[in-house]
Parts: sequence; structure tokens; C-alpha cells
Amino acid sequence: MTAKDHEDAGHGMIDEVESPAVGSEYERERVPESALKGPSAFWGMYAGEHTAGTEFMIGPLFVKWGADAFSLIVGLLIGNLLAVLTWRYLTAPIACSERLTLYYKMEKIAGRGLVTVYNLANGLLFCFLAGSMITVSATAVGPFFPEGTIAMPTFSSTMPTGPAWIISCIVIGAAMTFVALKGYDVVALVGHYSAPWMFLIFLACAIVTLGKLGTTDVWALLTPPPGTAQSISFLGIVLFAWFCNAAMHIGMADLSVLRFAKKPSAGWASAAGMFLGHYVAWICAALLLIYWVKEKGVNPQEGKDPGTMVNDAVGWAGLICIIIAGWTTANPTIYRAGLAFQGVLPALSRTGATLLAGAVCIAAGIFPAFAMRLLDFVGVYGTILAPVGGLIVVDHFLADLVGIDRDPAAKSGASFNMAVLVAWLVPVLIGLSMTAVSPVNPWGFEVPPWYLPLPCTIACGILYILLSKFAGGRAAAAA
Amino acid sequence: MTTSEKSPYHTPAKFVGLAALAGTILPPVAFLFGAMSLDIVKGIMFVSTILWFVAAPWWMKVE
Repeated sequence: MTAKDHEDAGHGMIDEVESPAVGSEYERERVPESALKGPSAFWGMYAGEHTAGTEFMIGPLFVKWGADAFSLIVGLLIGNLLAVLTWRYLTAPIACSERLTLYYKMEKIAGRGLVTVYNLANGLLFCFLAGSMITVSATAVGPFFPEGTIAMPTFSSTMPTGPAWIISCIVIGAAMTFVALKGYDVVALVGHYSAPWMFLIFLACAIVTLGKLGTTDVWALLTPPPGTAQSISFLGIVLFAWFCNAAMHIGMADLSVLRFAKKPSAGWASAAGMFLGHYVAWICAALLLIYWVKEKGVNPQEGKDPGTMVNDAVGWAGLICIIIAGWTTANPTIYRAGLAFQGVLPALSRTGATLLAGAVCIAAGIFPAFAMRLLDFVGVYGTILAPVGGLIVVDHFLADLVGIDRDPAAKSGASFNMAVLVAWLVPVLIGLSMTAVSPVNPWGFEVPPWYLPLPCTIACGILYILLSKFAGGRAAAAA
Repeated sequence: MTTSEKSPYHTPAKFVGLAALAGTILPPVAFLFGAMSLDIVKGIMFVSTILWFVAAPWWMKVE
């Protein structure tokens, strides 16, 4: 999972940065035929953006949770396939029909004021995501110094491990922020060039690990020892793989990208990201920790930092991979978080907004809790942002059928569609209150956050229909 | 991955890039089959990494 993760934060007043694969124009108009791109523009982009430094965390976290071989090999296959099908048959058709950014489409439905609220949520979540990338990148600094100089975090770490760790995070985060201020294009290009090499580094880590373990029986290696507590089920793995990028597919953030596609079939390009980054790379990363558990007696509940594991497997090339993978994905994330903050506070300069975003990211990165609970975090991320996709699906496919206005805010000129706000917040708040991350859980049971994006999105769509009808159907959904 | 059309460096960069990718993945395979020590694998991979980032900008064109 990455962060470009596809969000091209911003709307109207704020300009936008794009992946090298797509253009940055047409923010407030349909993309014209002349600007459309063939599928090749999207395959490389998806492959690069979904092979990130955080993949080195997710594979080992599955090991920590006792995921079995069938869940990892078959469950991830099914989950990623469902994600690709969602991109292909839901996101891409809407993108190719509307040809608008998510933000402009939302503005038409929800009003400009409410899009600003969405931007704030988006910006903050971006900061935490970039923070976890800073954490992962900082683990690659440790092996360059004598052992013990920088105390590395483990899965159970929530607080900074010491002054050297804090300095590492600040230096890496400050460098990322500086580049976000000055040289986004360069980093975007480095990310583009890195993609094939980076994937091979993941693969190399796994191959070397198999060599060290003296076996090629991946199924046997992925099978946890008897008696291992399984904290994540087959269904949990399927749903995690499907919804770890929920904000991008059912949440429709990738409208901003796929609006440039000539045909909805460009949605198949997401397969490059899912099956290289979220299938092969996750399993490769899981094998790294399995080696340390089997051969070096590491407690899987504590784990081992990615920097040490990758350095042990493939040396400096792997450390460079971690830093570049973190950098190329965290940097645009910081930039986009800055744009999102600027959308909320238009008086803030671009420099000030990016520095603010960078500071929040660094603060988040210093605390390993975000990276070490990455599975929970991406579930929360999807639960909060995906439901807006339900609004867009209703507006695009169902509005005429159920007798409500399409693009109601655009028609009424309203800046704040209350039906949208309620339909978005109610399912999200109820959903999050069922998770372990909620300080208050009145339900008496807990639901993993990655179970929630789909039900919250469906609930959001249904509520939006009901509230819009209640507010007057075609007459006045926007207040 | 698309290829640049005009640069005279394109063809040599393509060969260097392909060699760098091979140097990234083949040594681990050799290690898996016991044909290479891990230290040599790491050394070749590091050199290949440098070569890749030298060659890739000349080879891979951003559409």
C-alpha cells in the first residue's frame, strides 16, 4: 500500500501534482479526448506506487498474527483479485464516464465547504501514513552504524526508542519535507525508475532467505508452528488485501488518475500493483521474519525491524531500497498533505503548509505505534475515506433511479450538503466505535477495521439516498 | 516501461539497465543453489543498484 496512494489532494484553488503517468491539468473540467492515455501509462504507475517501504512491515505483521500458508497464498490472491475487480468494474467505469477528479465530483455532490472537511481528514491521515513510512525508512539507518547505536523499534514499540532513533526520524523526515518543498518532480521520477529494481529487491530478499533456510518449500515455511495463536483468519486476510486501498478504489480517490484512461479496461492495470506489491512483496517480506524466527529465535510477537532483516539478507542494496521505497512514497504524501492543509487554510503559503504537514509526519514517524499497527491504521484509513465512494456510486448509477438529483450541490449552489455529511459520518463513527482503536466501545465485541470499509460505504450510500429523499428528493438535497 | 526515442544513450543504457536488473536477481538465485557466497551476492547487488540508477533515466521514458 502506498500513499500516492493516489490522493491528489486539492481542489480548485490548489494546484496538483500527479504521477508521471498522468497529467495535472483539467482540475475543474472533463478531461478532453486529446489528453487521454492508453493502458501502458497506468501499469507502471500502479506497479511502482504499490511497492512501498511499508510492504516490509505488512508481511511480517501477518507472521506476528499467525496467518497460515493457505490464508497468505490463497487469501491474498483472492483479496487482491477482488481489489483489482473493484478498480476495473467500479472505479474505472465511473472515472471514464465522469472524467473528473474525486474532489471536483465531490464538490458537485457535497459542496465546496464539505470537500474542505474531507481534505482535512485526508491530510491528517496522509500525515500518519507518511509517518509510518518515515519509521520504516529510519530502520534502514541503523545498520550503517555500530550495532546498538540506534535502538530499533519492535512490533510492541509505541514510544520512541531513544534519542538516536528520534534524530534518525527527524533527519529522514526533514529531508523528505525539504524535497517535498523543492523537488517533487525529481522524487516522482526516482520512484518511477525504481519500480522494477525495487520489486526485484523484494524478490531477492525472499530468494536469499530461502537459500539461508535451505528449502524452497514456501508453503511449509509460511505454515506457523503448531499451537501458534491465529489472530487473523482467512476472511480477515481476504478483506485486508481487498480493502487496504479502499480509499482508492471504492473510495474513488483514483478517479483523479483513471479519468485519463481511454477505456475502463485501464482498471486492470491495478493488477500490477496488487499482485507485485501486495502479493509477492508481502509474502517475500513475511519470509524475512520467518527466517529470523526460525534461525535466530526472534519472538514473532516482537518482530525485527525491516532495516536489520533486509541488510542481513541482501546488504546495502536492500537498505537503499527501504530508504527509496519510503522516500518516494512518503514524499508525495507529505506534499499532498500540505495541499490538503492549504485547502483548509487558504491563507497558508505552500511552503508553510508543506512544513506543517512535514512536522506532523515527523512527529508521527518518531512514534513507532503507527507503523507497528499499520494493519489497523490502513483499515481505519479506508473506513474513514471509502464511504464517500458510496455517495459517488449513488450519484452516478442510482440517482435517477431513486429520484434524487445528480450533482445536487452544483445545481443548488450550496457549499455544504448536510445529507452528505450525515451519511458519511454516521456509518464511520458507528463503525470505528466497534474497533480496537476506539477509546469507547459500547458494543461488547470488536471488529477489525479492515472489515468496515465496504459496510460503511454501503451504509453511507443508503443513508444518502434516504436523507436526500427526506430533504426533498430532486428539489433540494443540498441545504 | 517505455523506451525513449531519440537519445543516443538509449541502447547502451538499455543494455546496462538489463544487466543491472540481472545483477539484482541472478546472484540471489545463485546463492539459493549454493553457487555463490552471500558476501559476493551483496556486493554484486550493490553495484547493480548503482548501475540501475545510472542507466534507468536514459532508458525509461516518462510518458
